Amino acid sequence: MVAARLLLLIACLFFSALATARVMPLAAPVWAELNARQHEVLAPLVDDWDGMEPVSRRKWLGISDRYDRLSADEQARIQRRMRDWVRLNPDERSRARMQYRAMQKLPPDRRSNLHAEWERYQNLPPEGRRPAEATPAPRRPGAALQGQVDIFR
Amino acid sequence: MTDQHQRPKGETFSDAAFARRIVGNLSAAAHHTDEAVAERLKAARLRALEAHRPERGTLARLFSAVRAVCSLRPVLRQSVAMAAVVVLVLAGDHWTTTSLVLELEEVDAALLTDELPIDAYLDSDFPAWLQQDSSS
Repeated sequence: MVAARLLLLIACLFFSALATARVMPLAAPVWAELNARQHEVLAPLVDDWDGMEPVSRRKWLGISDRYDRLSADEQARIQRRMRDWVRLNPDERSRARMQYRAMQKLPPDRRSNLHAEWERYQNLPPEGRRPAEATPAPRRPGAALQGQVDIFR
Repeated sequence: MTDQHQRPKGETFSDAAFARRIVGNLSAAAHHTDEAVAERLKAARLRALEAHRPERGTLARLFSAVRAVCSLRPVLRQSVAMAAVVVLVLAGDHWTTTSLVLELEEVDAALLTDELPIDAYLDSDFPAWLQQDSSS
């Protein structure tokens, strides 16, 4: 009787794990498992792909699915930037995403002019790029960034 | 094996009738046996009754199957509860991961196709300069 109960318990756990495994793939595919189109779109990532986290690989697969809906300019931009993006460290990527989200909250007229503003900013000498009023040193990591992000809210 | 038995005069009758007849004859004969033999016969009959298993019908089989399942009910309940917990935990993890992937996919795709270069989003002075520039 005890053996039968144990067997039943093991069977239940086994089948529940099996059912979940069918729903959720445990790992994203390695480079060799991608199809020809994915190889073509994600070519800049070939050297980094197999070392990426599964979440990142699944994200890039999602981006490759969107790729054909992008304009030619956007396709060219994403191809140029892919490799640089994956070579950033996680903090830099996180900071870029946060700053991107904050800039999306700018008024439309300012947002449409951002590229020109960036050009102008880049042409300034380093001392001209910094705000005139010195901001106090952040007490915790990300505090300074948080303050800058807040200006767009 | 046939269920029809030949009587001495050529009549036939069923197993049940034949058995009843044997029982009657044995009962009648038992009155003329001594006590020791009667006791042995009684013991033999009891053993035969214990060994006897009547053919079970569909209802009886169903009833015994239900009884077997009922005897397993506590362990079944435990197993189902454990399986439900495992499935819930894995489903929750799956949902969280999928949401994270979708969010990253949307932001990264937008950021990498944006007119502004990545450096603009990495330069922490740029937003402050923008604010100062707009207010001056």
